[in-house]
Amino acid sequence: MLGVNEDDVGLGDAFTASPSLTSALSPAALVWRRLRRDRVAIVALVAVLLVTVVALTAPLLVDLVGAPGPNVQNSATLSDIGLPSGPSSSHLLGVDELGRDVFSRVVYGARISLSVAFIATGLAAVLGTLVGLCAGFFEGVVDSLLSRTMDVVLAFPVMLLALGMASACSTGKGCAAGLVKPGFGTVVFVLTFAGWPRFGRLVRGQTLSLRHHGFVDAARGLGSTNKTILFTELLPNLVGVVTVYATLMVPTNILFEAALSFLGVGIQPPNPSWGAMIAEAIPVFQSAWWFLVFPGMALIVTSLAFNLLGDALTDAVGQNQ
Amino acid sequence: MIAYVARRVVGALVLTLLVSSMSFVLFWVLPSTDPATLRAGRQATPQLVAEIRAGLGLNKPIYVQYARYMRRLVFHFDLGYSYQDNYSVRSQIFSRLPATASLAIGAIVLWLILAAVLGTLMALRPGSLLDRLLTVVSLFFISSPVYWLGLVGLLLFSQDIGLWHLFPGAGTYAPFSSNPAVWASSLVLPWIVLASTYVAIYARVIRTSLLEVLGHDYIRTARAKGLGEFRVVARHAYRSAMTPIVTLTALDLGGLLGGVILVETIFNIPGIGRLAWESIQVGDLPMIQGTVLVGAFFIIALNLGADLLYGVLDTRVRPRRAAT
Amino acid sequence: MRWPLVLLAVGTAAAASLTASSSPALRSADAALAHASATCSHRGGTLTVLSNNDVDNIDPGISWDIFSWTYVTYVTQRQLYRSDPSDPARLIPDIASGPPAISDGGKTITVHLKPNVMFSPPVNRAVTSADVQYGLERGFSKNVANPYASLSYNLVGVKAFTDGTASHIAGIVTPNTTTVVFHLTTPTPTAFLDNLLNPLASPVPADYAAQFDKQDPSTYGQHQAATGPYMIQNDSSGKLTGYDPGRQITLVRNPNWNASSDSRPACVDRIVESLGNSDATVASQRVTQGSGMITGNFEPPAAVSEAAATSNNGRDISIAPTTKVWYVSLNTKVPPLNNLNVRKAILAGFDRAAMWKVAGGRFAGQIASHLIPPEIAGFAQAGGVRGPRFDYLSSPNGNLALARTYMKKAGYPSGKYTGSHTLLMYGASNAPETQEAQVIKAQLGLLGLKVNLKIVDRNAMYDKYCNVVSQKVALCAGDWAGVDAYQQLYSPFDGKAIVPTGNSNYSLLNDPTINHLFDVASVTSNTKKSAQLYGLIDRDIMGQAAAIPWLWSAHVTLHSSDVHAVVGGLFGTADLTATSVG
Repeated sequence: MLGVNEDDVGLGDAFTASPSLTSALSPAALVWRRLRRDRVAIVALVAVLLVTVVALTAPLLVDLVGAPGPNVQNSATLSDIGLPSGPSSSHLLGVDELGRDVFSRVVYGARISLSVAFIATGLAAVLGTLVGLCAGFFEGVVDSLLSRTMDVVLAFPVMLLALGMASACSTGKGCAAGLVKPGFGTVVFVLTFAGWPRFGRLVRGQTLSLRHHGFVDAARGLGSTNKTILFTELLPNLVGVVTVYATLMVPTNILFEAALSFLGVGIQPPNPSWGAMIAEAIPVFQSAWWFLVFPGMALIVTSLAFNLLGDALTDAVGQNQ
Repeated sequence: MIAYVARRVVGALVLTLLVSSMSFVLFWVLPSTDPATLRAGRQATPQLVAEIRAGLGLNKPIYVQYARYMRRLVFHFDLGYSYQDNYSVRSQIFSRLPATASLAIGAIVLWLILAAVLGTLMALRPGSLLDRLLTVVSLFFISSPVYWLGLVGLLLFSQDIGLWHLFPGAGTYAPFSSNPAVWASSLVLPWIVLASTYVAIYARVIRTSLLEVLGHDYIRTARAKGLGEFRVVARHAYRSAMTPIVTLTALDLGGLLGGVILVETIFNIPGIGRLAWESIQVGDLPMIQGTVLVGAFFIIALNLGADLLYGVLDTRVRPRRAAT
Repeated sequence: MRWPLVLLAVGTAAAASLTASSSPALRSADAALAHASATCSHRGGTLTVLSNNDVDNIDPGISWDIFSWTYVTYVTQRQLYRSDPSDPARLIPDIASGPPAISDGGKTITVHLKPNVMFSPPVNRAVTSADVQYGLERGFSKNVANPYASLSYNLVGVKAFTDGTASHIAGIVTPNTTTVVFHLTTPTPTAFLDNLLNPLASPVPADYAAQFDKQDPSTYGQHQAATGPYMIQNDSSGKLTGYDPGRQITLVRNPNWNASSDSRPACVDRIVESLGNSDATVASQRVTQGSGMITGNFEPPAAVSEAAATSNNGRDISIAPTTKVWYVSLNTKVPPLNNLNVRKAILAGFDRAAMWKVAGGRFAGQIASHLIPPEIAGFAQAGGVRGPRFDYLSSPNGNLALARTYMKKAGYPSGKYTGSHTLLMYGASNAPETQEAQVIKAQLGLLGLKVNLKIVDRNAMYDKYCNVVSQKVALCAGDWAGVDAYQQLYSPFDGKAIVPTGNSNYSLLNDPTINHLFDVASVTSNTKKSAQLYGLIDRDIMGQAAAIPWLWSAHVTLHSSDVHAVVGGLFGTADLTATSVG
């Protein structure tokens, strides 16, 4: 377009500068353009969409293939000492230690992994953005307080913290007087708790840098209130960064949830979680490799797709952290 | 400089205090089960539970409990006693520290060396097939769950159950003091598995830093002087690549601890990670809390160390008030 | 795992008549023990035992975990009597010099001690009656707080002792150094003698132990003395050097042990207990591929057991039956389980064979059809392998058609449950119990019953949920073991045994007929009549469909090819004092 060299993987200002000055395209369209030219990114995007579709249409997919549901146990597929049988015509990816169809469980597992990761990432993003905005905008005491809080949470070894919280919340009626129940609720709570300061720090940094670009003063000069400035000037400019970071945080959360379920403090059985499936495979994996390998591959493919997409988005948006 | 150091140290201390307080909230206030009941165990008569409550000070107001907890922690470094077997949490944790340290430090050393080699290769030939291949492989390892890698590693390479009998299997760890050879050989596979996630990232960081540095004037001058490629790179480039590496390592320690838990569980290494996992199995809150605190403490301490080191390495850095 | 506290009933005929079982790999305890000679195939060497977790408590006076007893306590501590390895139902004297003298209508028991049973260093002296007295008394003290003391020893004067008004328990009298006289509050000498097999009844040297028992909690465990052929390695002051919590326990020969006072062979020189081997597959394989090793307190995974059974002529595997029975208790007071027809429907439709497969098939044991296991008198009378002839027990694979019929009788015309109640169930977090809990949930789901399954730590499952009546847990899956039918059945199924906390009658069964039968059976000394009565009780409990029995378990022990393992006893475990290496 006019005056812009699209091959310029520009550093920093693709989204902060007022769009009409440098390009006739909106920032989003600019990003899309760059993305389109990167083959790996397209593959990653397709993969991400595919996994999402699988998660959304799990019941349909399972029906289509003719596999039994994820919790249907069939002891006839077990040997007489309880060893599961492998991939066959009736069970595409074999069965697990209770005779449940692995394909079915992997597909339904996508639902759980993605929903936990999306919800937790979303909540962390919202909370983190709000906190980061306030810290960066108001500065001073507010900033100190909020930054210290973020530092404290970030200082905790995240896995230990998650394990501890999940464990504390999985006895009895849960935590916070029953608000946080064991299973799905606890996992989302823990992931959000661990994730929001990272968004917070990121947004705070960006807000501070935007302030130094003179945005805020200009808007003030025009007579805008704080609230207006926050929501109409700053927030739209943060969307890009936050989205990219969120895309990169989703696979972290997917793997994190899987690790928690693997250790037994995440999703509760019999709900299929890829991490829990790997844990269940341990006693028999030398002879029954399939239900170790397939959930593992599902985790890798999903997380790799998000990572590649996030990487490509980072390049496209022009931020190299 | 003194001011910088002093500020950093005070900051770290304040942080430690805050982390301890938050830990108190997380493990004593939030859970809706009574610690006394948990501790009373099998013979939980109401009378016994009441006695334990009194003994643990649970019938006192929360601020008194908090004061007691902080006093014990700060002045006596007392982390309490395990619900499981009444052993001192501190002594259990410290007795398992060497195993975790062996695992973590070995992995760090391994990934730094590998990352340096790979990152250099990638930087010297940017955009080549090798570069792109390594990028993809890196991302593959970042996206893989470390415990899965460990299990597959055992399935392929362990001497007892693997396809190729290369490394000792799970559970063969022996402390360095008792048998250095077994100690080392039993840790090779765990080191590789743990390092694999990070090699990827660090190789790319080194690649980026090196690429940046290699373009500078003083490098071109050195080249013009006829110094060998390797010496050019080694002498100048690595020095400035060090700073982000140091910072990154400090930041990654938290995640490393998580990976350590998973690897210790798979390979049956008796370290703090395993201790945490075992405690979780039985709901031994004091022990879990102890491991969390010790972990946090180490991370804060090492981050402080990294900060100070950073200050020394790069004297251009003066603490700017802007974005951290 | 759960088990009652008493071990053997003196005089009860061992009902080891294993009828044709469905698992030919099982050898009866008798047969196994017939092979166990009182001599060693080789003397010396080190035996390494791999277990998956630590002892619950290193102090023999506090420990209550059966595997801790089997692999540590009974190796280092002797009691007045012990069970005869060749006939587990019989008691033979260990520290006692002969059988007990019972008088006063069964309320007084007199035992004489051998003069040459020695404590290990640093105590270095013979066991006296005062040590027997102290060993029992310390269990009642606050600093030791033995979990089963008050339940097992109905001695005169316990209350005064625990109140602090008496310095000793009046019911334990020591007229001289080699005689102990017990006075009981009720005439139950048989039960009392059985309870003398528990580790709490191991003699403890008062002069040495008192200083440690003054601490709260007592630290005697860390300084304990031994009377058995082996002791935990210690230093010259008596402090244990051989106990590395969670990692290893090292047992060495007790230099003061007198072989002439003991019938135990004590073949090996050293026993190393490796703890914390949480990966059962890895541990099992290390054992079969290594040397001098044996599996400890865990069940090897079925795959490994199968591999061991088909290699080396199956010499590396020993399977012994145990008295442990696995069943799912149905809470008869919680709707809709309070409807007998619903319970019968559940039993009819339940695929017990699937549970058995998941647990490991023939390596786990035999599919159960009622509650008394094959080793215990009353088994045949309750119906033997096939079980009572109720139609809802007739097919181990489950009969859904029959189940639906019962549901219709219960008032659900569609044959499936259509009400609104959810059944609360707790399952243990360790494999395979987690898997078993999921099978139960799925099975009940076939009848339209919704199960709210919560997986928690095993101890919490019992202590906080199943054992607490007010929690209203509908289904509790677990195991129970007893030395005789009374123990097997009383606490879980007699209405009189129901207590608000610490309850074991998860079914809350309170049937007057069954309760009365228990009363009659518990005072019957005629063994034939007793077996008949308990067989009847078992049948009646099944008639009430109060539980789903699914496994009479066996214990699998794997060992290296150079180990000659001796297994047996009530839990089919290895006897470390008779096993040899080389």
